[in-house]
Amino acid sequence: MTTKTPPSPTTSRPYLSSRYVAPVLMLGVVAVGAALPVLRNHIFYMWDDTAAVGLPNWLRMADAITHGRLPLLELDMWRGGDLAAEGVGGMWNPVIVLVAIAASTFDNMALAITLGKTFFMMVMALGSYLLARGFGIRPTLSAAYGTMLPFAGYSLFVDGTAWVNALILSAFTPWLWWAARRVLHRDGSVLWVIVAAYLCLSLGNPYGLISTAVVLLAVMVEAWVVGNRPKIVWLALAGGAALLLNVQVYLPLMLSTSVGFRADNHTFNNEFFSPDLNDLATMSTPSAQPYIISWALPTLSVPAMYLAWFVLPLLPWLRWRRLVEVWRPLTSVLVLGGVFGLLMLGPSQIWLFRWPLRLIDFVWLAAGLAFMVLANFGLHRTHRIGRAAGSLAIIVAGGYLGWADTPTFLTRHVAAAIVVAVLVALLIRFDVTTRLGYGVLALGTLLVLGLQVFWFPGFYNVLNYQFPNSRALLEERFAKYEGLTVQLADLHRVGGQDLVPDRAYKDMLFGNMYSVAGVESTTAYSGIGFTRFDNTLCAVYQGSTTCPEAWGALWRNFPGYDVPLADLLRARTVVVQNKLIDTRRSTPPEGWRRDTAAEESGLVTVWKRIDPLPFPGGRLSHATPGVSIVDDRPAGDVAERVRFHRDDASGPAALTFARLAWPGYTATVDGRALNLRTGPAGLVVVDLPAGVTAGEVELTWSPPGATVSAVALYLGAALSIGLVIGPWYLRRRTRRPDLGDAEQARDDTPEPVGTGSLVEGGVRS
Amino acid sequence: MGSSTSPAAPETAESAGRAGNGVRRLLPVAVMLAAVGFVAALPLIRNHIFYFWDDTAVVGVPMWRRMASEVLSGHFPLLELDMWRGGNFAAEAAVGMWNPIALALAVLTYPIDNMALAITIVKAFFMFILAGGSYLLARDYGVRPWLAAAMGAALPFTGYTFFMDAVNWVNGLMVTAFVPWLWWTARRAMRRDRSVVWVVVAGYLCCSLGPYGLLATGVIMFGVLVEAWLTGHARRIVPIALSGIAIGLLNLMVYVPLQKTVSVGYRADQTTMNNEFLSPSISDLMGMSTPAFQPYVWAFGVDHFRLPAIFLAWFVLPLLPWLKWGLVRRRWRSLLTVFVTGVVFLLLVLGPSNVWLFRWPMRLVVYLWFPVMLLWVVLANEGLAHTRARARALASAAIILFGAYLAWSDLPENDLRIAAGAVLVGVLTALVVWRGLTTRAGALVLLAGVVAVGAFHVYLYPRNLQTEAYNLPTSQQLIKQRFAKYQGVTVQLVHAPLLRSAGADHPGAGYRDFLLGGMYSAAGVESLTGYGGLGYTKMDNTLCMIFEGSTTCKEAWARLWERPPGYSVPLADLIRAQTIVVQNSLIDTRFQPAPDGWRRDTAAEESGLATVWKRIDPLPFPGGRVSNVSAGVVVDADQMTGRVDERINYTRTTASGPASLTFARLAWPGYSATVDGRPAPVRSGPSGLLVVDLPEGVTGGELELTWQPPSTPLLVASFAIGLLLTAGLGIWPVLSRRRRRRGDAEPAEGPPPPGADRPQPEPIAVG
Repeated sequence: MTTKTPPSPTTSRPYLSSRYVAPVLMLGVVAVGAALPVLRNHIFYMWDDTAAVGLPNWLRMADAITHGRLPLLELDMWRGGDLAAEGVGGMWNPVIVLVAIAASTFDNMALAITLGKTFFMMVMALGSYLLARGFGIRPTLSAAYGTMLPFAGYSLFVDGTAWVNALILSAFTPWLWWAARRVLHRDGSVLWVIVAAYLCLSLGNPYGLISTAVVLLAVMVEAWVVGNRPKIVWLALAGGAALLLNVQVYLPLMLSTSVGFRADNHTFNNEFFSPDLNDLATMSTPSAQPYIISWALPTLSVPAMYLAWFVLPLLPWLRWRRLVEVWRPLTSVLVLGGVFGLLMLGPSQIWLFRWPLRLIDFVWLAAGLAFMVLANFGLHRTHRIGRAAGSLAIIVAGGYLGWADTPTFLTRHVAAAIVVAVLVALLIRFDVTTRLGYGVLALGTLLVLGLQVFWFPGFYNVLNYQFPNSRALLEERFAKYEGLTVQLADLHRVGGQDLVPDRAYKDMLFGNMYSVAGVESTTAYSGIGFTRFDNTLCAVYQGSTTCPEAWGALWRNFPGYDVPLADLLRARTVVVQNKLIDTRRSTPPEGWRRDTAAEESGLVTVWKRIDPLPFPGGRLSHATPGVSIVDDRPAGDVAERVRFHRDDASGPAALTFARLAWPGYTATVDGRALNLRTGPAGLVVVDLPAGVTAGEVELTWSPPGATVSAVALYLGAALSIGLVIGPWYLRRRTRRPDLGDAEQARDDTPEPVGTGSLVEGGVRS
Repeated sequence: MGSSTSPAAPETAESAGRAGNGVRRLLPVAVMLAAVGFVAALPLIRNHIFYFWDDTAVVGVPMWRRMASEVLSGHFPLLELDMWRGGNFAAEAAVGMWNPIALALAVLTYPIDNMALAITIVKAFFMFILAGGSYLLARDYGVRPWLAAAMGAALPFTGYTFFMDAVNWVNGLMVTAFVPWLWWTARRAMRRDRSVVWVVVAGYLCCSLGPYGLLATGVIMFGVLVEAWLTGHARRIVPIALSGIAIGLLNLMVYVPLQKTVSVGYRADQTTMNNEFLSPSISDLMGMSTPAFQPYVWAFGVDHFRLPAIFLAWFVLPLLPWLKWGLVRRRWRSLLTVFVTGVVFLLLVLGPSNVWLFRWPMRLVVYLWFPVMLLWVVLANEGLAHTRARARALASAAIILFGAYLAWSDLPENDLRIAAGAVLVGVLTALVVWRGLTTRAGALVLLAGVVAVGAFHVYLYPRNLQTEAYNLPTSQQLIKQRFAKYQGVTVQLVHAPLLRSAGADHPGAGYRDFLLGGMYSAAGVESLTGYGGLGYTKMDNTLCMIFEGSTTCKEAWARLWERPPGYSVPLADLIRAQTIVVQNSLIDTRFQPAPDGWRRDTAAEESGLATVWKRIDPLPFPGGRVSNVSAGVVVDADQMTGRVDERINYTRTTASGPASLTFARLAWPGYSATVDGRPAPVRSGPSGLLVVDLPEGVTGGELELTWQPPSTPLLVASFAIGLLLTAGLGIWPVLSRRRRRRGDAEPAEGPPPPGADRPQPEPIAVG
């Protein structure tokens, strides 16, 4: 995909290399800019969910795939292990898989994720560049557009730090838009639409569904407006094909949410993560921290509404009237911007979708493009004083609104306004269409970014785990925990000074870090959760245990069982945070001992099982008395076979497994289906049939809806092939020599909008 | 009420240079006032105490009643000792006693026993004043009468004025009502050479009601000065600026005592910060024409408004696409005041939630509406543009839908009322577009729409759920009778929310034994319970009292019986308490032994919610307010020498060593004491009570305790200078005209120099 060279109808420079100069410079600027925050904050990109789940899941994915299996259900990750249903794993997305494999070659996780995220920022920049070029925008401005998006406040400071999947989605979306418009205006192949849509959708991010749908819808409306209506059908079919190809990504999520905490889906508003027009008015104010309700702090600790310093101040200089002539091929910009703009200003939750600020990436995609289309006409040169006054008023008003939100940072707002004013003055002096102008745009963007990362070193509204960065260190350090490790610890009860690698993380881990350390643990991050299990251990999304009662629950016998929950889980190590439950002076539970040697931080107490567990081959943790187990062994990555025999085959009998009963399990005995249910704390329980005295129980799991997914996948593949082959075949059949040349010629015609840029405001020398 | 505006009507009609008989000229005004009166009365159908609500009920009305009763008995209320924490009228700044119109209304409505009715009349009156001033202002901008009437009718029913100011904050309503008059007089002084004395009068009326009036006056005067400077009226800058100075000098007495007193209360620290409380955003302003738009702005009690608090008028935004905007380019100079005030008020509204003394920027939205509305009517006065009608209609529809969308996205559960409002506005907009705005029918649609939307809002929001109803008794006679059972200083320990949660906050239940806010003053009971706009921190901390006089902690009871260090009697004695009323759900004292020297008065406990304690023995020093003397000091006589001042004759056995007198008074700044003419130090003692230290070496003498507002000499002087300046401003033009006329050969030439560049009928009126 990335190797596809951009069509460059408007580049009229004779020398060949010029078409590459701007994009290469752009990628350089992106690389430099992406490195800036790390100077002060080495774990800038290893933050919040990225640290707790994003990167650990990449590493797991890379490990599994390089070992030849798809990580659909990772039993050792317990509540965080149903990767098929988690939705945002990315294992269906080949680009992410490749990046994850590359990242897994690094020991330093912060470095690995920094490089990975930088890569996706470049993907975003390049896609945006191509998109802008498709609108006929000159290379320098297209490059400026490509630089602007990854360094927009939300993209860098929120997505870039915490939510890598959103970053990736906004990296692929411009490619989809570009490909769709290519189909419309240049008879491009729908193959690229399907590929790009697949890349967007296969992230498993529900927002990918929205962005893909809206992008395609916007281009379809554009097709309608420019009078190329047959393309609407092609685009719709391409979208349908991509959707069919991705059923397996979303279906398990939909069929698994019932067991977890993501059950509510209604429309309401509490303004959480909801920006308003005031916040939008600070899009060119580098110092503005919008007063938007989020987590932990009253304001956002980062300039989340920042787009670019030059957008609003240049508005008085743009040639607005030119839009009247060229608006038709811009329809998709209006539709996309309008739809996402309205949604972003909408209620804080509509159906499944909450926190509308997240949509800002797509609003900027459209807004930035609209700006660049106008800027491409060059700046007005009349009424300079009036326009300059307008620019100044806009900069001052932005600074004022920034100050109104955080009055304590007066000097910061003043400094930012001065810097922007100087940069804008330079930009107007050189005009945006010149090379010097591009220099101001690029260097100005880096300068402003430098100021921002100096003022806003991290996204402190969310969690900064400060995990150790070295995977080898983690593995070595936590080799002391054997077997299933149950950790009862609350992240929020770890003091601030203890939340560093050489304090708490000597004995504890959160999120999915235990999977990185190679320790099987019930502590894991889950976006969906497993309610029955979570309630038993008071587990919250990032794996913390929040109640002291969890300790008691571990040693209680559930009704109908003669062993405690710890045994049912097949726990061998229990790590207890002293601040949560002080068990230091408790008598050891029967069959357990305290392992003071493993307590290095002084913050936890470590308990270890003395005797080995029964049924060592598999995950069976309990069998009803009277049932004797002959043999228990794994059958594949997830499946398991248990041979049993009973003397008295009447009356109920059941097998309990140390597995969470995620939807998708089936059990058979000698081919006959068995009743399977969710037992204590959400564990899998298989009822043995009456009248069978011996047999082999086979417990298997496949993602729920697997058949439907497979059918959809085949249909999608067939449709895709049809869509790609069909036109080619039709063209071949109907092609006549003269027509062939005409089509060839049409391919080289400049884009409709591009013509505008050639008439006036072209490159000044 | 109508009479207050009618004298001005002929004048404006003359200035617009139109012919017609008097009745026809008055018709728009009459219709406007009728519309205002009608909508203002609507809420009373379902809610008789709509205007007797929240702060109006607990502080506004009690202060107004007190103001009137004092003035009627020949006093001027500066410090009301019996109102304790709520009694420093001089320092509260927002009482309104310095405002002659407010004072007159207080006196005129005082005979009405139903306090809710009295204040309703007052508020309706100010709505008329607001409408009338807006009408005159619009007429002065050359707007035709019916359009001006639409503006006048709409402004009293903007969401914030109608549902917040008119319900809770009568001072806010009054300031808003005087603002257009100030603007009108200032503009006439600038463009028509009218006397600036009227500017001083209007400015004084505006500023004597609290800091927001000051702010509004300052911004409008600034705007007018900018316009004068840039439109060839620079000659008028000096007189207008001088009138501003006069306004400031006349009003120092309102604000200096506040500034000097603020340190003792809970408003002591004024910082600039932002917590978004009552801070609207541009999004919210986009809802100014959307009925039932409840902005998501942090407000009292919840994180959003339960009222359409940012509504301006249904017609402003939807008709924007039809206005002839070219006018702005042609006439922008004459609209400079509009732009300047618009920008300044917009910035303030969007600013931080606390800037120095000013907090809650949403309050200022009422001032922003004047320039917005003026610009609208000035443009609408040109009539509607009917070219490209389809595109304009689409834009109108988009604006209405966008407003509705924003309203829905704030509170999706309000979908029905938002849709109904959008349909209503859509129909009204279509009607206006059909009839045009230059016809009387079109303007009547505007007015009818104002009434319709007003009625729709009253139907949806019959009561202000943002603030407290209190449901206090409305008859002053009734509470006087009811609370005659409490004698002397009455300490009430009650927590209003507990009353509310028990459903007892109505006259038939809780208010048989309790009163809230400053209502005890209306009942004729001296009480520590009072509404303090400033509060008195030391006493408030002792009794855990908050703004409205609620007690929030159980410890208050015990503290009454503790002996402050150095004293041999408990606090109850120091404040000369004779009655203590305790809310059982706050502190259950029913089964406690009576404090020494006190008895329980079960006969006074009528609601079953209170325990009433009464002092058995009479207090010492019955003639005055001395509550304690140091050992060795004998008070021979103690009597009040005025409503506030007091004289004590004392003797001491030994004149060495410290000795002091403690008074049952809060030590507000402004007290001074002399012993036989020599000053004696006064200080704030236990719980903020006034303590006078007796001078060493004096074995006896006469102690004179007096109070006057802090910096009184300065204030008197500044008021006098302000008056002189005003008089000078009034006389100077007459003198100079006479002198010029004497020197001029051709007196018939009419108004001198400025007349040349000053278009006689307003430039806009030409359209």
